Parts: sequence; C-alpha cells; structure tokens
Amino acid sequence: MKQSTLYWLCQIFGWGIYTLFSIGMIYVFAGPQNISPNILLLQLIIGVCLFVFSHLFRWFIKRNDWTQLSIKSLLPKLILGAIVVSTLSQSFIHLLIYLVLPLKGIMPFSWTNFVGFIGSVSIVMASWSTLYFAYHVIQRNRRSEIEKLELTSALQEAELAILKNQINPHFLFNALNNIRSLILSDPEQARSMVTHISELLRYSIQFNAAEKVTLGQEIAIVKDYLQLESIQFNDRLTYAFEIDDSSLDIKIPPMAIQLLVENAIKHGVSQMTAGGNILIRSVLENDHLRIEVCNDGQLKAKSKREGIGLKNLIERLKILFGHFAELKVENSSGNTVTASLKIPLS
Amino acid sequence: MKALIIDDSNLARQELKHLLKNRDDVQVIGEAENAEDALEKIIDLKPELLFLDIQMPGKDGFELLQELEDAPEVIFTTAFDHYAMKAFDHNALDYLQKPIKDDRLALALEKAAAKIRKRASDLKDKNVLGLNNQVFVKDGETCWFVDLAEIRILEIMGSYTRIFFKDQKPMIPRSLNYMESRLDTEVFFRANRQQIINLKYIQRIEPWFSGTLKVYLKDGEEIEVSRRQSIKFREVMSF
Repeated sequence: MKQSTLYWLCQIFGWGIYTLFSIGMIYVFAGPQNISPNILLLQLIIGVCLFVFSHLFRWFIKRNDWTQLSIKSLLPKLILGAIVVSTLSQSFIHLLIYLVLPLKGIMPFSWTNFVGFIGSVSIVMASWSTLYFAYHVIQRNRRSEIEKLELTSALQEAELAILKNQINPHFLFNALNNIRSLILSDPEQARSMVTHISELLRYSIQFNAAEKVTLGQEIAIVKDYLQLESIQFNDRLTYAFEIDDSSLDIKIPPMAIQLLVENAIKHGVSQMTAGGNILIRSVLENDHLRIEVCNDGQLKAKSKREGIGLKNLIERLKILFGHFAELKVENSSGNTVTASLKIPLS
Repeated sequence: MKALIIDDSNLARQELKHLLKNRDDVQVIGEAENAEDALEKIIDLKPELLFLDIQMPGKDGFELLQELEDAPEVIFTTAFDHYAMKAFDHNALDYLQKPIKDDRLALALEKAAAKIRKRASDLKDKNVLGLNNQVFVKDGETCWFVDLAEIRILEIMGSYTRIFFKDQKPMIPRSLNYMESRLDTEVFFRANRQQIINLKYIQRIEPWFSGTLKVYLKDGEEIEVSRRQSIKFREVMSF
C-alpha cells in the first residue's frame, strides 16, 4: 500500500471512530433522549473539522520537516502545535455553529465550555501526532534495517570474491612446463593434459564464489587436477576415490575439495621423497554430507604463510552455510592426515 | 661448463636438457631428483654449475646449498615462488622461471660463465677455500652467495659462526674452529678465541695492554688480539 493511501485511510477511519465514539458517549452519559438530528449533525461537523485541521497540521509538519527533528526539540513544538491546532479548530467550530449556521437544540455558548473543549481536543491532537510520529519512527528504523542488511550482503559478496580459491600459480606454471616437455616426448599425452588444464581453468573462472556446484562437478575437476599433478610427481603420487553415488547432486562451494587435495599434496606427498597416497571420500550422514581427504604424512606446526587457503575456505563456509558447515584437519592416525568437510543438506 | 640439473619433476629435467642440448657452452653431466641425490652427485661429479629447483621433497634447494661448504655457481629454476623471488631480487641471485625462455637462459649462462672463469683464474691450494670461493648463507627469508674475500670477521656464536660482510652479519651453521681449518691462513687470522679476521681489511694496528695488539678494520670494527696470537701476528706481519 502506498504511504499516502494508508494516511488517508487512517484519517477517515480514525476520525470516523472518534465521531461515533463521541455520539456513543452522549448516548451513555446523557441518555438516548438527547440524541437529536442536530446533535448528530454537530458531531459530524466536529469530526469533519478535526479531520481537516489535523490534515493542515500534517501539512505544516511536513513543510517544516519536523520528522527530522530530535525528540527533545520536537516535543515542545508538538505540544504547542496540538494546542494551537485545537484552539483554531474550536474557534472555527464555534463560529460555524453559533454564528454562521446557528444550530438549534445545542448547549448555549459559554467560555468555560469553549476552553474545556480546547483542552480535550488538545489531548486528542497530541495523541494524533503521537501516532503520526510513531509510524514515521518505525518506518525509518525499518528502512535503516533494510539498508544495513543490503550493506551486509554486498560486503559478504565482496568478501567471497576475495576468499575465492584461485588456482595456485606454482602448480599452474609447473603444469605448463611439464606439458611443454611432453610435447616432445609424448604429444598425445600433452594433448590430453592441455584439455585437463583447460577444464580446470574454465571451472575456476566460471563460478563466482557465491555460487555452489554439485559434488559431481567438483569431483570431475579434482580428477583433472590430479591428472596434472601426476605428471609432476610421476609414480610418487597415487590416489583413489570412494564417492557415495547418492551424494553426487549435493551442492558444495566450488574449488573446496580441490583446495583440500592441493593441501594434501603440498604438505603431504610433495614433502616425501618416496611420495604418498591420497584418498578422497564422500559419505552421506543424517543431515549432512561428509567429505574426507586423507593423505600420508603428519601435520606439522604451521608457519604463518601456510593455512591461508584453509582459513579462506572456513570463511567462505561461514558465509554460505552459517555455523552448519565444518572443516577440520587433523592427524587421523600415526601416518595419515585427514581433512574433513561437513556440508549441511539444505 | 659442467652442469647438474636438480628438479623433482622428471619432465622438467627433460625439458631443461632439451633447452641445453644445442648449446656448446654447457654439458649436462647429471640429474638429481632430490637434495640427497644431488649432494652425492655434487661430491662425485664436481659440477661447476647447478640448475636448482627450490621446492623439492625432503630438503629444499636452499637447505641443500647450506650443506655445501663451497657452492658451485647456481641458477635457480622455479615455477612461481613469490617469497623466494623476493629474496633473489634483493640479492641479485640468478633465477629462471619455468617454462624457461631461451634468451633468459642464455643471459643467465653468460653470467655464470663469467663467474666461473674468474674463479678458475684464482687457483689455490686445493685443501683450503680460495678467496673467490663462495658460501651460501640464508638468514630467515633472505639469502646471499658470499665471496670469502668479502668477509671481514668471523665470530663464534655457540656452535655457529657469525660472518660480517658489507652491512650484513648472518650466521652459518658451522663452528669457528672448523672454519679456521678450512680458511687460507695467509688471509684469515685467528685474532682471539672468539674471532677470525680478514687481514686485507686491516686499516691500522696499535699496541695494547701487556703486549697485546688492537686492530682497527676499515669499516670501523675494533678487535683485540690475544697475547698468544699477538706474538704470532707480529711474525706473520713482519714477513
């Protein structure tokens, strides 16, 4: 609903109810015999006048930007305003009903009643303005809340872009150098390696960090990646997959498993002269998917350079899944390290 | 130049061999796929030049060099190593980025050849290190090849030795006594229990208390020569 429509509805219903309420009061306290057509007309005139004067008050409030004022400077202005509006409206009503269109069958004019009416209508006007300003304060809070939320989500998107896992340049240039060598010795294998590297590059460029991919897509890219690492490490790198077929369509952040495998190679296999094995496993459990990447080796105390990739992945998970996702890297036995990633099923 | 290629990737070694195949200034006398393998081959084959990858399983390229008391010329080869390259740029060590460009390779080989020629002209007694021999020194993130001629003072630091050259004073993982046994006594002199000094850096000498001497070096350091060594020092200096 438009704000102005809402205002008019409130005005009509508000003053309508006020008029009916006044008639009801007369009926209850002065008795049904006092309800005459002229009394009803008087109440109608009062209702319409207050409707018009409160609208003029609103026009004045808007023109002077009172909605921007602080409570402290607004309050005295409002009280004074309510009294002035009430005085003006009562003067107008009295002029109308006693001089311009004299109504029969109503109380005769008296100053005491006049002042009394001004007092009671001032309270009504003060209530009117309280409602009016309360509405504006609530609206303003809601707007700033929305702005805050929009800002947070823009910030998170920017953070995700920064946290996005890039292809490790050391790996990339080694792969290119190896392919250059393969072109001489095994052109067929060189060709398939170029395909793997294209797949990997396309994948890392294609998905922005806020998107999710299926486990199946990610596993396919991890296979491309491992093919490329195999030509670097020769027979020093062996690997195996144990993927639960029913988990293939579950959505995960792109490059997450790739990062875990890259870490497994960097801190495990590549450190060992004899090489090592990597196992990539996915298991469906109650309300989440568990992905494990196990490698031969043991965790060492980290230097400050390491762990940026993992830290970024943890941040990404927090933004995408809140506290429902989990990442742990630990020594799972005397000679294996396991990175396990828990993704909630949505 | 006799060169040894050290890289854990077989394909990378083949690639470099291919690049060097048509050059008559280099002959590849061997390959190694890790530091231990390389250490043996350096001792056995005595290469004049190493093509050395930094990231390797076990010990990395830097750790390998620190084990050598006389490092051959080295051209580092690296795919992309942000941190290491900063150290190189800072100290003008030569490195090539894989995949290697032909003209960069030619330039690096030229520089290496010039250094090797200079070293060969400085023929010395085989048992001690000549002044143009170099040691590889790594201190935290920075590393240097230091010609022995540049070292002014070697100072005891527990079981390590601190060396003073230019405005640097990094440590090397060897004892001072060991260094003394390997250094040329015509140039390096044991001044006292703590220090060995390079005689070529002496600016002036003054008599000090009870028959000892005080030596002032060109860069402002002052060294006291112990009483026993002062006698020896006078003999050496008086020809």
